[in-house]
Amino acid sequence: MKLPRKFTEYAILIIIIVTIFIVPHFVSSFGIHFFIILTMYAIMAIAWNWVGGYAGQVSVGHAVYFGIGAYSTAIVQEMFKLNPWFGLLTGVLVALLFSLAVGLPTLRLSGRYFVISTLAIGEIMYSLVMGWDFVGGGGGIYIKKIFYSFRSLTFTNIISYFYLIFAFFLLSTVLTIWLENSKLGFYLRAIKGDDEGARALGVDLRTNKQIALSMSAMMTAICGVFWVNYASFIDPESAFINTISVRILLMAAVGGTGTALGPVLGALIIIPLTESSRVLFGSSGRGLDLLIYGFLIMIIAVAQPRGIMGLFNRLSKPQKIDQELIT
Amino acid sequence: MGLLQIRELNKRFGGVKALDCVDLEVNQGEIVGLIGPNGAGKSTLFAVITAYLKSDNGNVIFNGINLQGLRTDQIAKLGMVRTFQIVRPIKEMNVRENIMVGAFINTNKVSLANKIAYETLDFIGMSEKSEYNISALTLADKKRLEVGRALATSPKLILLDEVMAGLTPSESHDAVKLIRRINDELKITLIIVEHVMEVIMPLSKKIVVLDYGAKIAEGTPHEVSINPLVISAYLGSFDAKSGVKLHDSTS
Amino acid sequence: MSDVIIQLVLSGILWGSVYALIASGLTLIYSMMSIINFAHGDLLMLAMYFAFTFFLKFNIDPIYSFPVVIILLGVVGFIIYKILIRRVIEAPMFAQVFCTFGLGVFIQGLAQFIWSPIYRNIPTPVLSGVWRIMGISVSKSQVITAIVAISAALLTYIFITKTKTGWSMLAVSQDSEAAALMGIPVEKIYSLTWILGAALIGLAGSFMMEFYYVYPTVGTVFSNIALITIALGGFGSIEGAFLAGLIVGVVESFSGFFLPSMLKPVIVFSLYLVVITVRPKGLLGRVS
Repeated sequence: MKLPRKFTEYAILIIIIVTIFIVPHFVSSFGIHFFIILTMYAIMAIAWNWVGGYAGQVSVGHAVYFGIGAYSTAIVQEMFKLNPWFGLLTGVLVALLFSLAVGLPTLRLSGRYFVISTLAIGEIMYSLVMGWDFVGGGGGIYIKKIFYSFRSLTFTNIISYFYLIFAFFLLSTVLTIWLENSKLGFYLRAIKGDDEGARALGVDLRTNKQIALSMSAMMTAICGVFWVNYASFIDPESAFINTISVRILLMAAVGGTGTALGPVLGALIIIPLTESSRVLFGSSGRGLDLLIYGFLIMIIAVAQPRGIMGLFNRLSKPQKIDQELIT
Repeated sequence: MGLLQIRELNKRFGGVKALDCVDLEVNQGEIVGLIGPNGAGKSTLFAVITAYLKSDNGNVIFNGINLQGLRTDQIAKLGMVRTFQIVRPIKEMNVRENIMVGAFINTNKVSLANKIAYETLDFIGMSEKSEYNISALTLADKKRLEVGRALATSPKLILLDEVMAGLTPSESHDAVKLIRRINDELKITLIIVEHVMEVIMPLSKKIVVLDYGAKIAEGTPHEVSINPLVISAYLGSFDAKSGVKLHDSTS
Repeated sequence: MSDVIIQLVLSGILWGSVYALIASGLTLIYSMMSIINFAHGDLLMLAMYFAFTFFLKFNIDPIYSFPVVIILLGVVGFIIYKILIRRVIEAPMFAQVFCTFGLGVFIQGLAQFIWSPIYRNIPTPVLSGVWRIMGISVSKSQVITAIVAISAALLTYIFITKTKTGWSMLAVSQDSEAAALMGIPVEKIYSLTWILGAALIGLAGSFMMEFYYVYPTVGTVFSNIALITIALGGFGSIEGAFLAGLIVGVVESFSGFFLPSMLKPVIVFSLYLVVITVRPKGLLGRVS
């Protein structure tokens, strides 16, 4: 009886994924650039959802993991002249270690104290990197592209970058579907629903939350690694600024947290909105993009606090109760 | 050999002694009734045994293992689980999924947890409600689900905290039947906190009475019911709680 | 050396009292309805722009225009509550978080639209210059602001703990349903909370315009500090927020002196993490 709703959700998800894969083959290189951004942010929203949506540990500073991935790989590649694949490995590893260090003191905090701690960590990392001359301080790091090959994660044609990020997008989606249908997923939902009650049933709160946070951190770091190699440049503003954190949070929120489809829907709404309003109104410097963006978020928060997926659930719920009454 | 041994357990909240040197021994297969006036420390005792609260000193030995320093979830894995007076189902999950959370204690496989959930639902008589949302359940069903979640962890000992509070007489009757079956068929040991004396007296072979955090009596239901300490503790609390009424009736 | 330390403590307290004032509005709103207002700093920014506009258009200094700014902010707070917050009061915490984020973005967009992204300040504030006492120099504007801030926070505290309306507020903050049964008009109390919370910000913004500059995203900095402050003090504790505000000010002042200014936020935000590791409910947080 549970199957049909999930089935519909997964079916829509697959249709969206296939569409995202096909469309870039028929658009200009600027269009492909847009799809790269869209896919990258979708991954980050998906990864945020693992810890923020399923486990209910709301992070308002998730950009740190993006920044850590980006900076680790930039340092490894540019300062130590190592292969980008090694940079990828380093980025993921550093993000893992960082998430462990962060998780230890913060994951035992109750909701709102945890939220503020993610904000604090975000601010700390931003300021540290700003003041760290070795990595260029506020000036950032440029990555010189010498070789263009899969082995060095650099490509001459933009569509190859799209394939690369799309592969990670697929990976994150597969991981989400696995998570939803695994013991970990059940435990995370139980923790979110009632952590004290879950404890009584043998759920180890710390370990399960930590796994979710570390998974999320590593996946977000992968986006950072990708971004450095794609944009060839990283600075504190483009890596650690809380605008990225807010955007990640909002994609998940608008789409619907704790669902497989939600973050992808959120990305499909928020990214075109921010990108197009920046193109349309942003150049005027009059802040119209922010006005529209902020207005829309408020509307969704008021009208549909559980995101678009909340609407989806509401439509499918009465049906289910009817079925139950009949049987 | 006792399944659960509690020795000189103490817990203070500020100046109040919530548990005062409590000793208790529960044998395999027993149903022990834990009674006492409001605020006697019954729920505190449950919370301390299952590591929701830290005791100030004293020992809890379960199945030969000293529980000192273990977390609630580790204790649950050893085979001792509690239920809550105020039921705590996870609202975002349906009935079956709620029970699966408990079932996952012994398996990593979703299919197996699902199977255990169905078996448990069958045992507690909620099979036809397996896909219900929590909001669609009556209080009796929620209490039943709470027991079902504990059962799904295949425990050796369950601590039931007022599973019959707020139920109608016929619902209470069903609950008693379920508790009996848990004890008879599944051979699970139970400690039951309950206010309704008519329910707990016939159910348990041994009754333990707490008052102001201290154990004041222990014995068969009959022994306890004629114990002057117990009578005065209950009368005292009755007096304090509804003093006005008492006064009215005497005047 | 001791001179330096006194100087640092003093300037820390001066800034700290401003932080405490900003945080008092935030903690008031939180205590009453458990909503963390992430747009709080953006209300501050709005207040600063109002004060700036009075100066620009009518050449009225913020120390004279502040009552009007307070009223204006009170109105803004009332509107925000009626149009927005009232509708998410029952929503999950997460929805409240992103709702107030959206509000912040909206206000920033509005400010950029009206006043442009340029940094603005008041070139000739009435409260300019410094006072020198025994070799220690303090800016007049900041001393006055600190005095105003401390008095306002005290008045708020007295209002809540000593007046009938204040008691009603406390009752609502304890249990809104029970308060409603007792005949307390919860809806009005909530409106009043937002008016009061925003008015406190109006006061802070007016006086800050005497010595600080304003731009559309200036609020983010103060939002973050205010959020840290109320969490550090312990959510729901008004005294805690005030104490934490002063601590943050002093810590910031010392780290600004001994370390590169870039690292100031590192120390302040690390302070929160350290405190929260030792005391998971903040300094004076209620243990529920």
